[in-house]
Amino acid sequence: MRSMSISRPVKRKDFDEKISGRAKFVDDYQSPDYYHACILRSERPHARIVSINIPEIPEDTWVARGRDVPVQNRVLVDIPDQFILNDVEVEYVGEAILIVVAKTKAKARRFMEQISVEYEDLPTCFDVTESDTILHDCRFVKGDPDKVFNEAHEVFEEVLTTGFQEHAYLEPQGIVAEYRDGYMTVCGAMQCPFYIHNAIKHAFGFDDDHVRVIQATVGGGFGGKEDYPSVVGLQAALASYVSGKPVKLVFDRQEDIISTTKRHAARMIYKTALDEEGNILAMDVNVTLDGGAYLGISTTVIERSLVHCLGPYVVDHVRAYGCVKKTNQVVTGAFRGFGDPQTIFAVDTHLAHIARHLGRDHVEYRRSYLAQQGDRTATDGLYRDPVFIREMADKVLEQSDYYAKREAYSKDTGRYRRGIGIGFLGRGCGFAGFAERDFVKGVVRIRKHADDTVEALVSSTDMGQGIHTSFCKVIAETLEIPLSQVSCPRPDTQRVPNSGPTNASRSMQIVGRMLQRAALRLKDEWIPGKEQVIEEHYREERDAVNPWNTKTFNGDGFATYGWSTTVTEVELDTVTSEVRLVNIWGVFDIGRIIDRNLVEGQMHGGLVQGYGYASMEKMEIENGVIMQDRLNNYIIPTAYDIGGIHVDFVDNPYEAGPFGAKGAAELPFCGVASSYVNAVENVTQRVYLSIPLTPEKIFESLQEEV
Amino acid sequence: MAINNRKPQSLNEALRIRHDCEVIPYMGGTDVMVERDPKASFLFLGDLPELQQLTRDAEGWHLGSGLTFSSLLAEEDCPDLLREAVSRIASPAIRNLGTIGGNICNASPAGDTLPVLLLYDTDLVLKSLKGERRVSLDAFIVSRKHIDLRSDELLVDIIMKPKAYNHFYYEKIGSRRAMSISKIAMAAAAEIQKGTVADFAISFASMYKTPLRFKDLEETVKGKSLDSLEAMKQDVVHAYGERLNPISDLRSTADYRKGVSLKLIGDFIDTILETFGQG
Repeated sequence: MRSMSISRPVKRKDFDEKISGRAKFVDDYQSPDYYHACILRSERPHARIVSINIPEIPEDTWVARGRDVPVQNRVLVDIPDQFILNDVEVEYVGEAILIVVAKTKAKARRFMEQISVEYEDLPTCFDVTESDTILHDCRFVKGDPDKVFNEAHEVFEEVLTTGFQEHAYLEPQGIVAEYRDGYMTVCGAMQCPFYIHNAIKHAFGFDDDHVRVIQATVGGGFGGKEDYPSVVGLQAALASYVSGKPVKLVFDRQEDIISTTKRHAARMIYKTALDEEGNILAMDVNVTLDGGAYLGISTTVIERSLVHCLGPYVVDHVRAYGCVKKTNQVVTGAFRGFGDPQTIFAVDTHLAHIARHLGRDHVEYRRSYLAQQGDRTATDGLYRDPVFIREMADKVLEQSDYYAKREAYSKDTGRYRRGIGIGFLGRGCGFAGFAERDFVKGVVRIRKHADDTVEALVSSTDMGQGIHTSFCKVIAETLEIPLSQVSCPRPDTQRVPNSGPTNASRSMQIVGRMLQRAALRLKDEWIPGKEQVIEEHYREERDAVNPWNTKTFNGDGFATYGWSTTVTEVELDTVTSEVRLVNIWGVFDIGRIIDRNLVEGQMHGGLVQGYGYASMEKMEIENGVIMQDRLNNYIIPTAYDIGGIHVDFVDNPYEAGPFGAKGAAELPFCGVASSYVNAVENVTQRVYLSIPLTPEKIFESLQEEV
Repeated sequence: MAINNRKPQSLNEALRIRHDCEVIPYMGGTDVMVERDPKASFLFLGDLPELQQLTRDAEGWHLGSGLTFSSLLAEEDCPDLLREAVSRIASPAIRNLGTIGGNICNASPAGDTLPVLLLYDTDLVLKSLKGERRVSLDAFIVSRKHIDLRSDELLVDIIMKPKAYNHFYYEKIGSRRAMSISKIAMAAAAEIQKGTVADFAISFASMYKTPLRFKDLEETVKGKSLDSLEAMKQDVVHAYGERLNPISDLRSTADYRKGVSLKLIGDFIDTILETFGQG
């Protein structure tokens, strides 16, 4: 029974330093030697910069430009397309033009305010439907959709849309950089230290040993500190390189919101071929993501949207096309779910609408298409592991008393009327295809010191989710030593190997597994009182059944899948069209739980963030300018907005994960939107195709007769 | 003259500084900190006991401009409708610092106390070294963030006039349930005596650059029987619809603001009929 005891909650490793206020976030790093940087940003959505008028630069002040970058003035994450600083042709409002460095932030800002930029405006595009620039596209076909569509009794078609979303991490972006004696050291808020390490090497031409990246304590990431800190890191590094001073670059909230990445807004066309009985024969899916001004990492985002375009459902014939289009808006990037929350919302909502169109019960209709072990994925991969989504559906329906409530609420007649909805999802854990084997090639190290304490050396970052505590648990449990004997330091690229980025719900499943294997070896080789180092490399533990083919988008997209179902209970105020979240239930399959407390925390947070995405997190960009640019007008839920949260799990150990664990972090987020919309539809008896589903949209829908 | 670090010990000292220097007076600072002007000088008024009294006399309620929202909530004498509006402001932390005087002088279109104060024909006492003057709240708020306060004056006393209202209605519609700037706020009250509408008042925030109240429309209802009120309900709603011409902004749309406001007016009338009607 050891394997179940791993789930028992422990005190977090970072509890004391955080609760006492000792934890140092990037803005807590102070030194009399520091200089401060301010970034002059574009005020135009697309313009050629005709001239920049810089007054005489005072002593102890520097201006850094793109041309000061020694090798290439580009940000390398996936592809080097964005500029570190762009003073030639700006592509969005908020794009960085130049950096001012001075002794204080106020001095830097004052000097920056004296700089004037002369722009020559160029044609702009703010709407993906009008954009003719495809930054990236991909497609796949499964079965014979052409034939099936031709023979269909009926084709049910919908266009569904989702909005931009701001990460709203508690701590804004920030990096401190110091260039001294040919060495560049950067420290700050980040999820992926080696992304920054690599980007600095690329732009500055340094070798591995001359770049050092250190993670400070991080106050939330959600993907917002996956790709974007490479931009901040390069800018801070350049500021230090030009000035020769240690430079701190920390954004305030408004600068953070207008300049950093957002979740991709999406426009999704779903066409479903039906036979006479209303059975689904085939689907045609067309997804367009708003990439903003640069591709950035959107290639993998759209691929993920597309691979998950069927959500948890099984359809034999599929045609799918996805593209990322360019607009003159802020760049979109990584965000919890990474492209699939959009298509999972769309497909789940679409199926519920088909049922409604057919006059069928939407729960039973959707349930009948839910995947089972042995079924084929959208890309003709195999669901090879046990799939319990139907049992989970039964569990959540029972726990929420779904049917009784739906029946009772249908008789509500007063000002306040309740409704209840459900959503289903399945999504791949970790990276797609063979990315771990062929590209990431993760490495972990365990160092046992002479006093027999053990350190986990990994590049995975703890940004509040608690992964370092969980890693320590995996090691302590494997070595059968007390948890207090194991630690996991914040990554410093000089000390830790590259175990890959912290994203894609991969940390426990992939890095945790490598640590478990390293710990097993250490256990065998353990010599008391001796310093020992064990290194483990990633390896595929199971052969793919249908190996992933990147070109055809065919095969096993993922090693395994996570599943969830979410029931949402809401109360509509028929006078104001406001909706109150009364209760939300989630049942999750994340393999086996490594620390129940931490996982529940992630599930709660993900459900709340998903609720915000579905209901109130409205971000409007007008002529390239983000309207909701602060936390008093970009509205995220408060504790007051959340009713009861009820979280439960099925135990479904994954054979290639540490103690049976698999991906968890993104799962709770991805299933809320369709469940929420389904609940509101249950009250209003209207159909909604767009999130965030705001009171304004509900009010408008209620003006129309059913 | 840098006076940012000076903390006046008395109202007179504060008036002296206000007279001598160009300063932005503030109390809790919950609004000025949001868009703080780095070049401005500030005068802190949050520590003046003279401004923190709530008293009641024949003139009505006298609210010191320095009363925080939390202290208003703790005052037994605080009018119920004001208490309702204040309890929905932001969060406990902000209610501990924010003051009613600040809420008035900030003159936000979304000022949470303003619709309630309008229903009580509130007057404001503005004081300077030279003396004091009294203006109605309605006249004081000229436009968005623009008030009739001279550079040597401070708002000291807020006088809510006595009303015989026996029916109250308040709705704040925000983007979320706490920490929210309203999309629509409506305060309404009525006095019903022996089946007759003796008094009837409705005011709004967040619809326009200033809070709104239409006294001429209220007059059309006053003196009517409840039966007539029921019969004329749609006409009343329609008349408000002719006058309300709300804005669209980053928080909400004109259609929503107008449509929901009219529903709220209808609902307010329904609650009067339910409470005082035959039935």
